[in-house]
Amino acid sequence: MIWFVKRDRALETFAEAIRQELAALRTPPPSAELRDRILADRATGARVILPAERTLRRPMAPYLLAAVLVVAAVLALPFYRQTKDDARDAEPTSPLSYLGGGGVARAQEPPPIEWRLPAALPARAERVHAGTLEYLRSWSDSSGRVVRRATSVLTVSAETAATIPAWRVVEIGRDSVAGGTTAETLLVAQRDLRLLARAVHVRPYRKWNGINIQQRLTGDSVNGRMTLDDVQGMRRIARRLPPAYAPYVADLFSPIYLAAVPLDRQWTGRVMVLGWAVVPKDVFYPVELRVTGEQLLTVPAGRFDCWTLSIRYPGGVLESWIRKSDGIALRVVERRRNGDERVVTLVREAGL
Amino acid sequence: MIRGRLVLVAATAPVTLPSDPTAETDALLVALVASGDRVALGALYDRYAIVLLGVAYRLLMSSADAEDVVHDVFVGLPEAFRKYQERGALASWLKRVTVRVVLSRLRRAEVRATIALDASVGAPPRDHDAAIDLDAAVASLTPSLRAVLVLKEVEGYSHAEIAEMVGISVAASKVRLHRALRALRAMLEDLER
Repeated sequence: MIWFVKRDRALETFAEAIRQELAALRTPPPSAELRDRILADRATGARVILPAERTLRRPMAPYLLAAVLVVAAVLALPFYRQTKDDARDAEPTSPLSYLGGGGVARAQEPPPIEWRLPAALPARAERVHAGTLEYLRSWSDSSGRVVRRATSVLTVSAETAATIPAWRVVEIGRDSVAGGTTAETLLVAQRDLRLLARAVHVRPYRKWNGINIQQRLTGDSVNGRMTLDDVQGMRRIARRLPPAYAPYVADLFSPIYLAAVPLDRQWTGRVMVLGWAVVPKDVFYPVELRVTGEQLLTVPAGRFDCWTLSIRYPGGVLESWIRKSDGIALRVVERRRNGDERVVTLVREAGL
Repeated sequence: MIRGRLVLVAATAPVTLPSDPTAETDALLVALVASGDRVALGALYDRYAIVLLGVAYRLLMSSADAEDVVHDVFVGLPEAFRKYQERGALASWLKRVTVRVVLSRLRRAEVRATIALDASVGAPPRDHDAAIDLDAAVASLTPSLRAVLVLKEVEGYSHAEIAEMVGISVAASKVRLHRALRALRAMLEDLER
């Protein structure tokens, strides 16, 4: 028998072997009796309802799988977008207020040769006192129309941080257009104005409810973490601050910092502005300062004799007016090439 | 075109149809049977009963049951043809209808549990002993396994088509075929000893 001699083969081979035998199985021949019975039954009115032929169903699995994939993709899209946004927004950069427009970084790169001016060391740190400064920031377009305003209240108070006499510098900023709030706190050593710690809260921050930056400066490092209000998880901050580039100054402290630096007509100096340091490109910014002249300046807080300074940062150049009597910044002006202008003006003060 | 011919032929019945199954004559037969022409039904029986009996018999392994199925198919054809849409060969459609009728009977468990080795059926096979063995082995399979085996290996349906007709999944169809072949092989080996 055909199949038996191939019994050791696989089942498929067996099936192939018996296929012809199966097809050749004896079947009953159609009889005339059956034919007559059929016709007779039809004649007598017999009826049979045959099963309806259904359209062959196409295999549903591929369609189901595709549908599941589409649904999964649609459901995952928000998370994907959020992940993308996380990736983008997980690279927050510190907005500069007093020493630049922000958004430009020098990622832990040595400053260029021409920036290597003498370090603006705080030789007269005792000139810093407790008090309050209120600044008005305004942004105007090329026609001079003010398009945005924000106020900042900067408070300096004495505090002891881990046995170190320190200044607590707090700035609360409110934006009239964006409706956001910025709160930043610094702890600065009274003796040498060395930055000890910083906490920043910005609400809202881009698409998030808020961002929080905490930094602690120890030795030649800045450590801390970044969190977003509506996203779980955090990003660690751990960056080295090369001592050769000191002093490191927080932008927030810059309106006061020059109080400790003796200025004169020929004075030049540089500082490193500490960024949020969450990403490598935002660790520190070299800023060059040059006294360019003297001027009597009138601001809402009064009329004062000032040094005019040119402040050069990686993104551009600012003009600043520093009160001669105490080194407090009275005005900062940044003019853009397109004619837009950003002005920071001291409107009120107390103590300092 | 067919409709026009149908009127003429119907008006001059009884007719003698060519015995060769061509698409054109099939279409004519279908039209005539659908209109209630008994002669055309007889001609259709002469042309396709042998095929349909073979299908039914292999699925049921009973001459009487196979004849009952074919009887039912032909009695029901006039009504079925009124809804018939010509797609492919008529023979294929008739075989599918027959298979459905058989499966319907199997589901209703109306089949007599017999192993039919009717002496009256068919012409002698090439290898009579082998055919007897295979006949007995196929007949001893459960109807569900035998249906898949016959539909796949003899009638040449795909597993998807079998699954649709039998009302099972494609995977189940494959499993049943595998089991049927294994059982068949085991039985044939036993018979050989």
